[in-house]
Amino acid sequence: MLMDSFEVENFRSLKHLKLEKLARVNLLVGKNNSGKTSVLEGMYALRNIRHGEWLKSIEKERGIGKETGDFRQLFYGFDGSINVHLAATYAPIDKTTQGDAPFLDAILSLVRSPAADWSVRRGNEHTTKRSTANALGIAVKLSNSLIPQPILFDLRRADDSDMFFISISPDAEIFLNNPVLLPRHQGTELITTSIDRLLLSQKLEGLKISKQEEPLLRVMQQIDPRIKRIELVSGGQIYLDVGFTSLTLLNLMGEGIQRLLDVATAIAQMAGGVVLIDEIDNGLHYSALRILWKGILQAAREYDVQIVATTHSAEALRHLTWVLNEEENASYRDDVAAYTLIRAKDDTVRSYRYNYEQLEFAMEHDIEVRN
Amino acid sequence: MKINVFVEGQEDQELVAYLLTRLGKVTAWQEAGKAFKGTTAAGHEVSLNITNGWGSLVSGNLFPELSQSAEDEVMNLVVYDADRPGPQQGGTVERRTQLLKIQQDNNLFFELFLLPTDAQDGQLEDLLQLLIPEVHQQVTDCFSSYEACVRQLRMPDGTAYNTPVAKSRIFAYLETLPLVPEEEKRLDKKRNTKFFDNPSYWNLEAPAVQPLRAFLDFHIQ
Repeated sequence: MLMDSFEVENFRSLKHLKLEKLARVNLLVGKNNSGKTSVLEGMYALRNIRHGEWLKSIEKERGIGKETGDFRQLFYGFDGSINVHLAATYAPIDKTTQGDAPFLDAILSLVRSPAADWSVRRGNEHTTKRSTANALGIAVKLSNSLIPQPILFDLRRADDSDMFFISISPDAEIFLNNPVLLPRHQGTELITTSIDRLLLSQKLEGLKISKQEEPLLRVMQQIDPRIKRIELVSGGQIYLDVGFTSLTLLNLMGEGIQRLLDVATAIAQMAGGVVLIDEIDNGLHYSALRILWKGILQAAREYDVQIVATTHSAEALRHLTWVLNEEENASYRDDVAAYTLIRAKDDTVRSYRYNYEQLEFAMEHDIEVRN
Repeated sequence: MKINVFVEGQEDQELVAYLLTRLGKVTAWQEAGKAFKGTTAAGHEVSLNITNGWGSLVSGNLFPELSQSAEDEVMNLVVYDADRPGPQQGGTVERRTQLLKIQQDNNLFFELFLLPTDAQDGQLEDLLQLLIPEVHQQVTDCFSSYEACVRQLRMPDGTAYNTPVAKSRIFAYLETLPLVPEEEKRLDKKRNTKFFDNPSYWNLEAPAVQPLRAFLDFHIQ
């Protein structure tokens, strides 16, 4: 199930932004400080809202440790007196299917911890924690179309700087235990440009164990038909069998192949979900961009994954358009949308959507998309 | 503020660029692919974009750009041909009505100027015809004679020949001019260059160009 729209209010640097008619592969283009990364973080937060780790994940990506972590950093203008609003609507595969969630909506507010001890649920474990007087927490009021009434729970930074959910409504427990309340397509990963080879190796191992490696191999073979196998050895090293007498270490392959394997593996692991990629072209030579886009288009469709990527460079957009211009990739044209993000006078961020034809026209005439 | 000017072709782009320079709005232009980019004294970025004409507005290809407004610190100016009434629904009234309807229906933001004068049917070449200095009008008189001559001829089966149109007239005029070597080089680099910066070829103070100058002067501060 693909996200059809995403709206965010008062989150990070975003006073307000709405993205409409999201496609399978979406590229957000904007100058520095246009709020691109905040959009990805907002999507990541919303789609993982019931998993307390989301805040730690986005703090980690920003290089924020627990010493400097502060819930107020989530709020526009560091103003904890206002609410963050995150909302997404979904395009059901079959509109007649019962049980699809056409929307997911969360309101986050900064609260003080209750005086009493509170019950904590983390995974399948229930424990009781002593209240930390006046500790800041975030109350999350969440609703989706499958929950008749909005439920409320909160997310709290406890003494050990970890994140927990606290049930403060009977419905919350139902929500947390019931896997159908959020659709199965809830997996979301936020990735950046640096490749963590150990983590990549672990993901590849997981794909091998669950026998989901074949489509990934097909994606890689489209880019380099010589690739016959992806091999893992102890110590986290990744090798590719490209038909030589011995395996080739991934590090020795071109940067486009390395990056594609990283991104395509994330896509394979998030089958049915969303992969968010920050600064997709960062550090990549332009010749690698085409390889990357071609692989992403194919992998996204192969694994039924929605992609939202950001860039501040016009080159990423230009290479995406070139890939789509090739007749062999014509079937992917409707899979793509690009959005230019512009910070307006009132500090809201406006998004302007380009479909393939509009993008191609702008590129052909050298009309600047990233205003 | 980012100012986007959308024009039909290279000649329109060069004319607008030169008029903006002459008006003191932009002193230097950089070529960025097919677009011209410059900056006003007040620091506004100006981009002169070729779009191949009004079809780009009808097709929706320019909607993302034209949806941006002053709220986004963007201003759009559209300078297209009015054309003439006929099968393509041209004409200053018809074309304006059509484009403003598209603007309204799609919540677009742009100021519109229709060549040649924003009040007459025609196109860029009709304007250029009126910018040829008095001293060179004799060349276009020759072309008129040629047109008149062709018009009275018939093929063996009785079919009339095509009569040369305004575009050919302007080409023919420029071809008669003895270009200096520097201009020859520019022509080698860029076909269709019209040398609007040479006052002996074009009178950019002529009354016919005043409406376009006033339009640019008013909107680009």
